[in-house]
Amino acid sequence: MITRLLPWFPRLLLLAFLTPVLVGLAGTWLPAFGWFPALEQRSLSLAPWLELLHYPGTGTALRLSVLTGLGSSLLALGATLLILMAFYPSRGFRRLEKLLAPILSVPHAAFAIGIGFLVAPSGWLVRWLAVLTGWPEYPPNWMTFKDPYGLSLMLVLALKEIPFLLFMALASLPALKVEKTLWLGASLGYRPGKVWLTLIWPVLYGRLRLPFYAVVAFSLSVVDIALIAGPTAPPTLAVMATRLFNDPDLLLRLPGAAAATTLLLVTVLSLAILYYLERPLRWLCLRLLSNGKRPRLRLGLRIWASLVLIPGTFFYLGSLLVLILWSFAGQWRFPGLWPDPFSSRTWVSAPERLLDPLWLTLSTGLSAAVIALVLVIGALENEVRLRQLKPGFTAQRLLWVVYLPLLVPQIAFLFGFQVSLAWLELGGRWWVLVWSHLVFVLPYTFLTLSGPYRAYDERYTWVGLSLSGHRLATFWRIKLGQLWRPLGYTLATGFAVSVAQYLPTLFIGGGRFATITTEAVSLASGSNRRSMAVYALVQQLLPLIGFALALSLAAWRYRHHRALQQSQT
Amino acid sequence: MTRHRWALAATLTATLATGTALAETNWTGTLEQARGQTVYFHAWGGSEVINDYLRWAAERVEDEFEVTLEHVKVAEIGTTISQILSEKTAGRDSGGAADLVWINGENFAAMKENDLLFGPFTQDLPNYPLVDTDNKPTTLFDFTTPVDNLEAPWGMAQLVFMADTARVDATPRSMLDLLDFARDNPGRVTYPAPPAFHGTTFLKQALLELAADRDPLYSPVDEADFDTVTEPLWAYLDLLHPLMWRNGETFTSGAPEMTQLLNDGEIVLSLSFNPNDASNAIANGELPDTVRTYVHDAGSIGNTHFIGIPYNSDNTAAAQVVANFLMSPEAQAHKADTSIWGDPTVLALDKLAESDRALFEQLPAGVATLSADELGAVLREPDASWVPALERAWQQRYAR
Repeated sequence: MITRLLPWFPRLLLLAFLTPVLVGLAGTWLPAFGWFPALEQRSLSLAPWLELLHYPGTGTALRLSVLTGLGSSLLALGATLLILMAFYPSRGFRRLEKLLAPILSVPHAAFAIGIGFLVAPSGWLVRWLAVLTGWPEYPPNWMTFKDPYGLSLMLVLALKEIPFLLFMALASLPALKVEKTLWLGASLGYRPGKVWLTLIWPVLYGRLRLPFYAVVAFSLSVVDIALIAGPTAPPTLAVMATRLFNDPDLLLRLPGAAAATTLLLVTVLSLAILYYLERPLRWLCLRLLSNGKRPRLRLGLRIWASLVLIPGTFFYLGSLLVLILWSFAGQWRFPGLWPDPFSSRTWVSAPERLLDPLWLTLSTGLSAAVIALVLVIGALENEVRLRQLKPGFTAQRLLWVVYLPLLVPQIAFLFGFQVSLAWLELGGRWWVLVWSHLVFVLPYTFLTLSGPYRAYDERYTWVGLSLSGHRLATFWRIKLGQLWRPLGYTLATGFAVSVAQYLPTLFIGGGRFATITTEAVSLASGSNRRSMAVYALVQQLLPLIGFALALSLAAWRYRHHRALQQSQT
Repeated sequence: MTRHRWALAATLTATLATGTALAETNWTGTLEQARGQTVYFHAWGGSEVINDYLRWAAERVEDEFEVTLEHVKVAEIGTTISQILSEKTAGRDSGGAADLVWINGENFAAMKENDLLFGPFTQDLPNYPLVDTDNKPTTLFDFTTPVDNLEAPWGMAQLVFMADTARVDATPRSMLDLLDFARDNPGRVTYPAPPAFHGTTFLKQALLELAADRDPLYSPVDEADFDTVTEPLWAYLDLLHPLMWRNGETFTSGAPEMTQLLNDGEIVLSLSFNPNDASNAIANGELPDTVRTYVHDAGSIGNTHFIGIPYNSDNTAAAQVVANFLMSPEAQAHKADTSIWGDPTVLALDKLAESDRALFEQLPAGVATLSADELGAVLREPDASWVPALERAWQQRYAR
């Protein structure tokens, strides 16, 4: 019975998240080419593109987007490689690994605000300087944040992406047998650095490619971080597109749609270039490196990696600390290192304001996470079945499709999706909200679960089957029973992804659904840093509780199974 | 002759009386219809003070009219207008997501022009006659666009500046004075980048002060020689920018960020559209108590902010009930309280009943609030068509 349903799972999966994206894209392209009946625009033309071209600052905005988007992604990739080369595998890395999930759940905007408060001329670092040396009396007029070149934006983006790439790398590394490869290299007299670059990295990159592309797409089209940390005159193209979409001059939505589509084009083009550069680059690298030389000179890998890790950790901890301090601030001025006076007023009045959004965030997040989990398990089980039918079957192509929503800039399809929902009279419904979250929850669920799920040894199931003869019971008790930890972890990940969704919640809900994240973003448009901090902390706390629950439930479930307690994931 | 006049007067009175009676029955009908409806009010949610005020209003309309008021907190009202537009695109002319929107100026002009508003309706609201349309002409002309009863006046705004008096002895008295001030305090002055609302207002204020002749600003922009009229503005900004915060290479995103920077001590002057903002921010701990409000001698731009009803709302009755409540002496006085929000009222105090007037007269004055005299002359907003033209020209020059 269940087996017969299995082939439908991948199809359902596809339907669930490709429809919104494709419909949304088309709905954005029409206005980009001049079709917007609500504004009496009914002729297809290139006029919106020309208008975008002549809009002041478009060229610079595009350049800034490309520079910050590609620059930060490459920086993050490089830093990830460096950290892995220097520290993997080691005990320190184990510790870092445990920190990754909470780090990943830090909301973007909160992180950017936190870093801003560290590095701005009136920020914490200068305050320390002022308190310790008596200089400066007032914040200096330095360009350390929101610089017109996009450097601070690039830094914030890179810092935000390194943990994600590390996280994805760690999911793949166990299969690459790094330790054995390093041994082998060492036995031939090669230092780890060279072994990494020639043997491990090429394979690892193959597995990191899609996550990396997702990072590129995200960085090219990010709006919230760019608003806080990016240049203003002009801003990046994504911010400019958002502005055009929101302009009181309604006709500017047409060039806005063109700008959003440009972002899509730039993303596709960048990914294509990265894809086609890969081979020649790999060839070049291997040619340069495969020379049989075994340089004595230590690369000082750990020093370099520390130069990334230490400031990175500092920024994460620092921004968190600053947020906590602001949430308890009565007043806090330069050059004070601590709020003066402290006040719990914002926290005290919070529950009344937070309760409704909190409930909606929880119910939406849990529903999306559970549905995604069921769909993904179904799809993965189907894969198991196909592999039994056709040995050698791989699901590589499916992976591209799963990634699609992460590769398409949200701003390029959400507007069109909103129109089609209104047309179907579906806007403002809760299940549509869950569905729109699923579009983003599914890929991450798939990514988190597929590794451990595929690594499961099917022979356990065969043994179980031969003993019980009951398919479902075997699946439930033996297979899922062993996968409890990754399942919980996946649920927590899905939940975290749902909590973080801003644009979909806003657009699809028609404003009727207020989650912690939409409230946090609307407060971020105000001036009260205390409320902002409280919401950002709650927003961060929710996924953390999810991860903590997942881990402790697994620990509880396996309290009598010592072998499973050691499980890697 | 006399008798004739008397008869005329009697007829007139009778007509008026029936008119009022009719309006009353109509309003009773609206109240009836509104009962049990839910109003989704899309309004900027960046201020806890305002959010709390709207929560209070929600409790009040629930108790009194059995209307549920949901504040949809948006970061920018433009997203709501996008929402209404996409509904219109999809042909969804009823059951729209928004029932009330907080708008003014360009947004109103655009919504009016594209038939996105329900109404006219304010003439039927029992509290509308209390609005001070005589002395507050901006309640009738929103950035010079005739309101035509399509939006209900909610609050008054006037551009004011704030200074941290702990670091500033004499505040600038004009835009030209501000230039000297910036020379003496390099890096301590800035304004938000247009098209951010407050940035564009700063441009308009500067243009009004610097223009040789203000008249062209009150006609559509394409009737004027834009370059000649705006020439003094650009000459001024060319001088000002190098003296500004971050040498004018980057700007703030809006008044909220200016408030933060003023508190951080990065800048010493800020601006706001709410004359009570400084008092309110001081009470909240967002600004130090050394901050004071000031205006330029030539007066400053004033306007009114409104609430409108989208054309495809299904809950127009309840939306009108809420709009009427927000215009009531009770709600307006509560809103004008600096410890609540401090948003100036649209009502004419001399039209109010004694007890209602007392509500306003009891309000404590904020520590950093200017008296009506000190606030000085209100300059009218230029014609709405100047806004996009100025924004585009500014971007052309300073944001390429």
